[in-house]
Amino acid sequence: MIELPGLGTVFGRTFQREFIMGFRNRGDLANPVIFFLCIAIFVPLGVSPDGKVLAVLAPGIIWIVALLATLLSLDRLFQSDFDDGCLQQVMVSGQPLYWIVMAKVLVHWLITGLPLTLLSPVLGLMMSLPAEGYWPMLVSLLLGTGSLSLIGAIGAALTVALRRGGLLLSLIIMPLYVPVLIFGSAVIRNAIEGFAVGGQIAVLAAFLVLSLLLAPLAAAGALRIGVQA
Amino acid sequence: MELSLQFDSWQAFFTMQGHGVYVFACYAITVASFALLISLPRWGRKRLIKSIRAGARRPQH
Amino acid sequence: MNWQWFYQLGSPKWFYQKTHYWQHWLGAFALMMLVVGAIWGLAFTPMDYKQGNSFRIIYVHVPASAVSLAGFYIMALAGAAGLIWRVKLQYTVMSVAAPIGAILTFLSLVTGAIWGKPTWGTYWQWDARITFTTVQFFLYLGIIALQQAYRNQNTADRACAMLALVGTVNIPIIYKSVDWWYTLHQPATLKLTEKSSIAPEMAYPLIWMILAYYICYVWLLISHTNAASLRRERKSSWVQALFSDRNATKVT
Repeated sequence: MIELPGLGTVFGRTFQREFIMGFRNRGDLANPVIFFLCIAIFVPLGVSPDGKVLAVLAPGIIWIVALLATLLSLDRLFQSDFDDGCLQQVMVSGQPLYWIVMAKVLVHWLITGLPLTLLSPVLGLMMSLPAEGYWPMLVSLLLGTGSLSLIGAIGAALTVALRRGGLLLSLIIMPLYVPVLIFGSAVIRNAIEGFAVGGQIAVLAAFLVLSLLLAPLAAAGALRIGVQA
Repeated sequence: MELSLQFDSWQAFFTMQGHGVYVFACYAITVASFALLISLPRWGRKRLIKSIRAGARRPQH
Repeated sequence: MNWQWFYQLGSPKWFYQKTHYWQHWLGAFALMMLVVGAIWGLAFTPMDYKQGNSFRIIYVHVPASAVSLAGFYIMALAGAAGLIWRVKLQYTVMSVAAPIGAILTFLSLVTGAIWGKPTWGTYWQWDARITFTTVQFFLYLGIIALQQAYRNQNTADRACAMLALVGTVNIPIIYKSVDWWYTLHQPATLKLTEKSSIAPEMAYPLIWMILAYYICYVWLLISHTNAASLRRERKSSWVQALFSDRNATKVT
């Protein structure tokens, strides 16, 4: 009987591979960030350059942009591995799909969610976000984008076998993003208005824990369905 | 509990003190929705019967 | 132990034969209940002192919201049963529950919007219930779209069952979030449905209508399931035998 490598090895190797692949496609890597900055220019041009107006809109806009940028990058999450047959190989290898999905999602978050979070102060500056909003914004985005990537993985897995799954993916995932958007933007808004934000941050953390536990399971199940098609 | 008619005339029933338009629009849309829900399986069944009979008439290979 | 009865529960043919005849009686009963409830609500219920006669919309609006939400759980349960026991009938039930639920959700949205006009003075208000129902409508649309996207029936069924389960886990979270979000922003309006203030003369027809909607839902689910089963199994011998005989009595 062939000895299977341990869980840690599987997770580590998948993570390593995904990370290298991610950095090889530099164009894809920059897309969410460019999108993020485009909105930062469009909103003042389209709405108003007035700092007071922008400050009111800032918490919502920042969160909507983070959400859309994640959504844009999701359809590539499993696509190339599905197309070249890697996914089938992984499935017949007998490795737990949960950890492989987890590794892929973690890399997805590292190349979209994390850069967006780190760039958000720039967006905050351009949207004249009040000073009290910056730290809560960083914390809420750090926790929230993780949930976004994890929940998004379910949609990406469900549409993996479809040629043009992009729009369908958005339709499927959008309702599931509602709670994260509500609490994420509420953290920033409450912080600006001087209220306590601990409760909302705890809720965001709970969403993250829940999606860490359940989303890879659902995504793994959905991938099996897609590959067997 | 005692049931009694709330309106004195047909006129009063249809206008409902100005709210008749809204109330009857809602009831009409409800009727339309249920009509659609009831018709959908019937249409599907008719289409299917038609296609099966068309298939049966064709010569078998 | 004999498990045959259990596997019969998953057979579209068995279900069709069992339900085909009495579903019409169920339908007639459901429609009768709906008509009686509508007349009761329209003409015999005293009007609300605050909202006047526009209150009568409650009898078509609230049952639609209730049934369309319950329909989502029914859809998910059927999908779960399909995934666990790999049975055709449950997948068919799940797949037809999506369009029925979507139409009922849409009905709830439209009647809610029309009710909003005399009550709030505007058709659309970002109230917690309306917002949640809109999100629920999109959940249904997602399942219908996913179903349409796959060519292979079995793949479509399994993917939709998975999505329905994910949606069901999320529905309470979405509901609570939207509720919390609404209280945070607190627009000063009166709610469409206040539980505490409803008088028994108004509540009895409402309960009647909710019951009527549920019975009607069950009937619609059965008739849609049978129609979908016939379509899915059109190549099988039992469906062919049902319809292809041209000398048979006229099929209704």
